[in-house]
Parts: sequence; C-alpha cells; structure tokens
Amino acid sequence: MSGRTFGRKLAVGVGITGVLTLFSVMLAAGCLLFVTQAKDKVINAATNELAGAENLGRLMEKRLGDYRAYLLYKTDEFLNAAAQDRIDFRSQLAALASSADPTVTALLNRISDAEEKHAAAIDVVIALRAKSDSPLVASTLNTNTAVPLRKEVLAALGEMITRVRADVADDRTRSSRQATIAIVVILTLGAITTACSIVVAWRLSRDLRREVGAAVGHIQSSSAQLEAAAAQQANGGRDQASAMNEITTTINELLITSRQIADSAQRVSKIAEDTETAARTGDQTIAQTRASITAIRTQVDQIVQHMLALGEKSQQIGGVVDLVSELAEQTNILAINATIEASGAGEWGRRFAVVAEEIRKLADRTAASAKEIRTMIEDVRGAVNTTVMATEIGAKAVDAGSRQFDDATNAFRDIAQLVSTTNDATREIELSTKQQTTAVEQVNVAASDTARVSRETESSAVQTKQTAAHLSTLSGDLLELVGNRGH
Amino acid sequence: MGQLGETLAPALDAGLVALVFQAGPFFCALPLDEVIETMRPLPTRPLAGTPPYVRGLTILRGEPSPVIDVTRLLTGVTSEIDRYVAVRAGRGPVACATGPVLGVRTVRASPPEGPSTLFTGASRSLVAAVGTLGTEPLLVLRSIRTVPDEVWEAAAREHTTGVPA
Repeated sequence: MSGRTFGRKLAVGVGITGVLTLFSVMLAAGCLLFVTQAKDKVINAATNELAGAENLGRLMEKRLGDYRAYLLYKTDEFLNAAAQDRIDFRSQLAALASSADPTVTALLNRISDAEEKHAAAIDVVIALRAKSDSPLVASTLNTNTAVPLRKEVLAALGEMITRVRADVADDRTRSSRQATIAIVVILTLGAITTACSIVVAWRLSRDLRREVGAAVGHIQSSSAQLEAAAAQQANGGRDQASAMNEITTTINELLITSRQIADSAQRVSKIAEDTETAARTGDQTIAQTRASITAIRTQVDQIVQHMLALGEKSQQIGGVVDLVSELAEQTNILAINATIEASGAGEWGRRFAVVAEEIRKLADRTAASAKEIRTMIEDVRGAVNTTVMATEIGAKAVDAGSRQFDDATNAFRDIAQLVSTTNDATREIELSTKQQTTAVEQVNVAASDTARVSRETESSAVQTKQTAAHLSTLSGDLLELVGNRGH
Repeated sequence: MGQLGETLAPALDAGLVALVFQAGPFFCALPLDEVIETMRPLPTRPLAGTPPYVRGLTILRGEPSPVIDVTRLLTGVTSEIDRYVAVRAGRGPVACATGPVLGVRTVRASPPEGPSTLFTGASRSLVAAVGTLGTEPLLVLRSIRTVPDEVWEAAAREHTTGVPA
C-alpha cells in the first residue's frame, strides 16, 4: 500500500472491510436461508407429514366415532359423517402420499390397504346394522371383523407417526447441525472480518501516524519556519519602512540640493556667458599684442644687424691696430738695433742712440697704445658678441614668446570655445538638473508609497506570523490527534 | 774666463752699457759690444744630439747660426720666445732666444765673487756679474761660449753644403 495516497489507502481499507462485511452478511444470509430452509423442511415435515399423520389418526378416530354413533343410533347423519370422514381420510392420505418418501409411501400404502380392508369390514358391519335394530349384532361383528382391521390401521398409523416423528427428529437434528455449522462459519467469517478490520485499522492507524504524522510534522516545521520567516519579513519590513523613511528624508535633502544645483548652474551659465563675452573682447588685445611682438622682433633683427656691422668695423679697426702694433714692434726692433749700431759710432752714435731711444720709446708707447686699443677693440668685440648673443637670445626669446603667445592665443581661443561649450553644457546641466528635480520629486512620491507598502508588508508579515503560529499550534494538536506527538 | 772677469770689472764698476732683455723670470743683460742686432724669432731647425738649451740652427744674414735658449740655459725650463738677439761668439754669430727686449741700458753689477759664486757649470761660465734692475735681479751675461762644437760643426756643414744637418 506504500506509494498510495492516504485517502486511497483509507478507501481500500474501508472497501476491504466493507467487502468482507458484505461477504459475511451474504454468507450469514445464505447460512440463515439454509438454516431456514432446513427448519422449514423440518417444520413442513412436522406440520404436513406429522400433522397429516396425526390428522389421519384424528380422522380415523372421528370416523370411528361417527361409525360407532351410527352403530348406536343408526342414523344417516352419522352414516354420512362416517362416509365424509372416510373421504377426508382418503384425501388426507392422498395428500400425504404426494410428498412422502418411499418408506412413508409404503406405510401409506399399507395404511391405505388396511383402511380399505377396514372400510370393507365396516361396510359389512354398517350393512348389518342397517338391517338389524340391535346394535349388538353389529357390535359383535365389528369386534370380530372390524376391530382387528382397525387395530391394524391404527398400528400402521402409529408406525407411520412414529416414522414421521423419527424423520422430523432427524431433520431437526440435521437442521440444528447445519445451523451450528452456519453459526460456526458466520462466527469464523466474523472473526476473519474482525481480524481484517483490525489489520486494516492498524495499517491505517500506522500509516496515519507515519505519513500524516510526518506530513503534519513537516507542516509544523514549515509553520515554524514560516513563522520565523514572517518574523524576519516583519523585521525586514520594519527596517525597510525605516530605511524608506530615511530615503525619503535623503531624497528631500537631495531635492533641496538639486534646486540649489539648478540655481548654481544658472549662475554658472551667466558667468560663462560673461566669460565668453570677455574672451571675445580679448581678441582685439591679442591682435595688438601680436603686432607689438612683431615690431619688437623687427627691432631686434635690426639691432642684430647693427651689432654685426659694429663687429665687422671693430674687426677692421683691429686689423689697423694690428698693423700699427706691427709697425711699432718693428720700429722698436729697429730702434734697438739703431742704438746698438750707434753705440759703436762715437759721439754721433750716442746722439743717434738718443734719437733711436726716443724712437724706441715712441714705438713702445705706440705699441702700448695699440695694445690698449687692441684690448678695447677686443672688449668692444666681446661686448658686441655678447650683445649679439644676447640679442639673438632675445630674438629667440621673442620668437619663443611669439610662439608661446600663439599657443596662449590658441589656448585663449580654445578657452573661449570651451567656455562656449561650458556655457552650453551648463545650460544642459541646468535643464537636466530641473528634470532631475522633477524626477527626484517623483522618486520622493514613489519612496513614500514604498514606505507605505513596507508598513503594509510589515502588517501582513505580522498577520502571517500569527497565522503561522496558529498553524503550528494546529499542527501540534493534529499530531496529538494522530497519536504521533513525539514525531 | 777669469781674465774676462777681470777685464769687465772696471767697466761694471763704472756702469756697463748693455742690452737688457727678459729671460723667463730673470732680467738679463748682454754687453752691447757683443750684440749684433735684435730681431723677431726666425725659423729654426732643431738639431739632434745637442743639449736641450740649443734650439737648433737659424739663418742670420745668410749664415747658419746656432740658437741658444737663454731661459732654458739659465733656468732649465722653457718660456715664450719673443726675440732673437744675435751676439758675437768665438766661431761666429749666435742667436740668443730671449723674452722681450727692454732696450739698451747702463747697468751696474757686482763682481763675480758676490752671489755669482753660487753658480756652477754652464751658469757659472755664462753669468759674469749680478746686478739689479729696479727691484728685480739682473744677470750680466758674458759672451756665449757654451755652444758645443757639434753644433758649430753642423752649422759649418750646413753652410758648406746648404743641407740641414
């Protein structure tokens, strides 16, 4: 029976019990019918055969009475009565002969033969009584002829009655034995039915405890879990409601912040417009500055050219100075040699030596002056070179500054473009912030609805918890009902 | 040499007219009667196997002459050469490579028994007297006789064959 539902098991068990009960009832009915038939047979035998036999005797006795009355009173009334009694006797005898067994039939034939002989004897006696007035003659004849026949009839009747009584007793005994067998069969079947019912009840009880108890245990466990989950859900709903309240508060603050951002974006947009205007105004200043830088570059180039020319002139002066220095040196040498030569030339030589010495001094002074000039020229050339280098550095600086200014100009234009872009972006931010504010308001409404739903969810969870607790209690009661409390 | 010192002593006491020039850190003077002329440094050909103070041979007025580095001869180190001073030597003119030539001066110098007694070797044979020029010491040189014979022979061969030694 495993794997079936408990309802099917219950239906099968009740069906088996019902079938056994029906079978027992039918068998009991059959046995009762059998016993009834047996008893009916006994009763019929008792009523029909025994009563018929007894009735034969009574009719025989009644005929004999009417016969004796006729013999005494010689009236037709008693004669007719006796004749009627014989008819009734024969009818009763015929009735008994129709359903009798062979032994009884033989006895009935014997009775019929004896009655025929007795009736013949009686007819002789009746005829004699009809002829005579005294009953004694007839009585004597009766005693001699009819009485033995009458005893023979009565003996046959008695034997038949005995026989019928024996048959009735046998039938009664047999029917009682059959009734006993039927009782035993019914009791046995009842015991089997009861045993089957007990087994079915035990199996159903066991399955009820096992399956229904397990299911109810699961229901109880699930109810406990459902209760815990409902409690958790209630706590969650409470926390969610609290969180949604905080979210609502935060959204309100966010709404205020969004409005402030919108205002700030509007101000930034205004500032960006002003910045864009200022940037466009700065283009003229940039053009003037660029012209000034170009003029500076031209002047620097001219300075470089002049300095280079000055350097060339200084180089030329240096050449002249070198020539003067060469001449002075040569003059110095010549003067010294002249002095040397003059030293051996007496008085004239000494005068010439004086002149030569003066010439040497002039040459030395010239050489010194040339040297100073050379130094000055070198200084001038160094200064020119330094100036040229500085000027070139300045020119490069001007070029670099010009490039940087171009970069700055481009950057300034980029800044202006970016400011314009920023202005557009700021307007978009302003519009987006307004839309965001509207969205935040909608979110605020939605958050309020969500908080309300959270509170409703908390209430539902509390109700669910109570229902789960009630269901757990009911499960415990049901476990007690199925007798599986310790499951 | 001592004879030369004796002949120079009266002149030094009375003042010696000499050509004063600079040789490295020293101021030097050559008696003017030994000086032929001064000139710029001339092309000089080095000579192998000669002392370090002999710079080589140069052509003075068409004749090969040895060039003596006076600074190297006096101090042992070389310095910048500004002038050649041609002097009369025993076997011909000798070019003395010197520093700047200051001119013809009348110098006064101590006799060789003074500080010059400290000189030895070539310095002793070259320095005739020691005087001052302002605050600087002044070496009065005697005639250049320190040119080795190999140099003179090389100069003679160059003069004869016209081929550098």
